[in-house]
Amino acid sequence: MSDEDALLAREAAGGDSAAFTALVRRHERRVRAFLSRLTGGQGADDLAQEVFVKAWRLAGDWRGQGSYGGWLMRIAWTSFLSARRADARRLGRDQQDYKGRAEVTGSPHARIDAERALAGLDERERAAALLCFGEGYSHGEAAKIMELPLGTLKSIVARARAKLLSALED
Amino acid sequence: MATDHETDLVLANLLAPPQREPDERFVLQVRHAMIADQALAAARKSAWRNFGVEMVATGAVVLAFLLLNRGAPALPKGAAIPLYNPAMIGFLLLALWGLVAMRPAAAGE
Repeated sequence: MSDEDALLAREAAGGDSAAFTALVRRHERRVRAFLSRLTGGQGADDLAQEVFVKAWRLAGDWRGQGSYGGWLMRIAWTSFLSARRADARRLGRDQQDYKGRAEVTGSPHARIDAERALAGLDERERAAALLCFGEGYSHGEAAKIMELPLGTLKSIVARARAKLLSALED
Repeated sequence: MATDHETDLVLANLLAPPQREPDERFVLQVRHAMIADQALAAARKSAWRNFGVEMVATGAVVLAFLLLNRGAPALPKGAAIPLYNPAMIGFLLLALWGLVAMRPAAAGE
């Protein structure tokens, strides 16, 4: 799968829009789910579209270090932070409420559980939990995506894990 | 008591992205956005190029104006400016360039 991604990414870097469209088709589900859960569903699809346009613009910058999915997630995370800062400036407030309308999988009970559990996390804990537990990235990969030192990421994941478990036990 | 591994599995199931087919509508939206972005980038590039060309042209006209003016004899105080002098050629060049630059077709390029 990552070999195919690498091949498509190389073609996209050469300006092949069809190859990039194939990459969008392969990754949109994960990028949208990640952003949807980070934002609580508000404007997540617009942000995801922006992420892919940015990835297309930067296609030539991908050097094949790490997975293409990880590179996309990094763009998604930085785009989320920029959008969040812009919203905070516009609304004149520092914290945005997590509305819990994210696209989540499984039964209605699981959806409610996930929404409630995620609502108790701050955005870094939410992103770290989604990357490490939901997406299956290693701590090292998640640290690269979130541009954090490994130790910091590990402590964020541990805190997120504890909060999620506590929310699920309630 | 659940082990750490079991707990991580529970969290993985809870937070995993939904399993579904690719959303072709979204893919199409991204494709349209890519095309619009490329068109915008091309228009921006063209606008910068035109701006550069116009700045060079302006510089050339101003320089020509200064050189022409330098060659003209100084007028006595209070004398009327003659219609046919080198500075007027500069004004004429400037007006012609302005007309060409501001014509509707040029604005739409």
